[in-house]
Amino acid sequence: MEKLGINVYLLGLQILHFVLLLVLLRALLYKPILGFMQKRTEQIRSSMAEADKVRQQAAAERATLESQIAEERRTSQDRLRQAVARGEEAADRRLAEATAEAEQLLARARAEAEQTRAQALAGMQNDIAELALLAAGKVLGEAIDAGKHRKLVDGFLSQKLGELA
Amino acid sequence: MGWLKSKKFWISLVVLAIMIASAFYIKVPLPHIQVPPETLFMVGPVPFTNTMLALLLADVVLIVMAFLATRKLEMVPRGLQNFFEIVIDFWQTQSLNHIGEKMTRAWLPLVLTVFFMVWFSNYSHFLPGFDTIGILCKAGECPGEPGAAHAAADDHAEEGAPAAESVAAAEGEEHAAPEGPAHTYFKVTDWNGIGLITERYPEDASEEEKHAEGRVLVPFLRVAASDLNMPLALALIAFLVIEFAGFKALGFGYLGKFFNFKEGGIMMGVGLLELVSEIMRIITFSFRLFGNVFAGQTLLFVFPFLVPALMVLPIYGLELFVGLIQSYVFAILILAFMQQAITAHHGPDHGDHAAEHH
Repeated sequence: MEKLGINVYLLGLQILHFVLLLVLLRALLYKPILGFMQKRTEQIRSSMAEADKVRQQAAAERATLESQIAEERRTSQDRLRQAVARGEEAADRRLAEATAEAEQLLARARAEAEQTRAQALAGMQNDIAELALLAAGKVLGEAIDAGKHRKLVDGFLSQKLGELA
Repeated sequence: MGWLKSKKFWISLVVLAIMIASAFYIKVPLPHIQVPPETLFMVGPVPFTNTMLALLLADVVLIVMAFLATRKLEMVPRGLQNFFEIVIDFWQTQSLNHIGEKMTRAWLPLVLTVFFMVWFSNYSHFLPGFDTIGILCKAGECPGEPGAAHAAADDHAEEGAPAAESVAAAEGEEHAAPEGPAHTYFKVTDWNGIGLITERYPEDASEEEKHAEGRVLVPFLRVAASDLNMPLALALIAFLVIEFAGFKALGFGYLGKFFNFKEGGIMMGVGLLELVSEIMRIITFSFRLFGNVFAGQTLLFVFPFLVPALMVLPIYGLELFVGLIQSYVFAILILAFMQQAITAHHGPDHGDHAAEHH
């Protein structure tokens, strides 16, 4: 034992030294470092849980928003469709109204034109009859009965003008 | 001939030349190699050795580093905090894998302290001054030796007297080399009051001459694990802790590992062998560490003696490796043996992990 240097006092001193070093390092190094590592682990774990929660919330919000967007899109398409239908309906109505109005205007114009023509024909008939009676009176010399011949000329002209019309 | 242009070739050649030249022109004396540590002073009956001083030095370095690392802990670790966190985290993982969570809480500090203590004390060996700076004393009058007190009294009485006179006085009483551990004598020159070793006394020089003129070197610092007391103390602590953990986990059933009378003669023999190997662990634990470190120390002595320049560098590299590996081995074996101790030894019927129940 002596040749190997084993000494009871030194052995005891070494054991005492180890115990003291253990106590010292435990207080000075292991406790703070292990405590801090534990704290960091918990912080990371809670951060991860928080991140997971936020991710889930975001996913839920995204799903809600996507459904809202889909709903909005559907609504807007419906509105668009309705608006288009209403527009087409209004356009059709306006077209029908315009067509009817145009037809009315045409009919009125046609009636006015007819009336004007009839008036013109009547005027013309009268003038022609006047001229014919005058011309015939000039040729035959006062021998014409204005009333009797007038009726005759008017009848002739009415027939001819009626054919023209 | 392309190798002639190679830079590596020329560097190797220069290194080799320096090494060979140093072997011829530089003389490095082979230091004294002894197994017991050298005593620096006595505190009553307790010798305070150079290995103890080296261990305290390693402790100071470790404690200062620990203090600096934990002074301001940061969420993103850097520097020393990072270093200690990596090591502690590594051992925490190892411990959790071996002995479970509850046992880890109880025993991790012990495992860590073993690892740090052995590692730092092993690495302290690389500091300059280890094994080389110390007290130059006459054989038999060195600290802790029987003649030390007498020599101290002589020195006090003859303050300022030349060393040769005190040598002569000592010789007058003893006439021969003192008994006790074998000494290695060195020739010493005085340089501004500091003794410098020039060479070792040849083995064939007369004992009287060596004792009269020669000086023995008692280094102030010597690597702690090269003192068998340190590994043995750790081995005893490890042994006690392992047995305690076994008893705590299995109760008196733990003894069934060693005294197994129920399963026939063979198992009884196996149990007794287990008991012997359990006790032998104290020796394997202590001598593994002591042997490796002492061998490393001796290598670091011998290589500069054989080839003074550069040759020792690879040995330093090897010792860096060995110093770390031995601390790892010591700590991991505590965990492995503790795992064995807390595990019930029987077959599948009750071969469960006892630690899980605690």
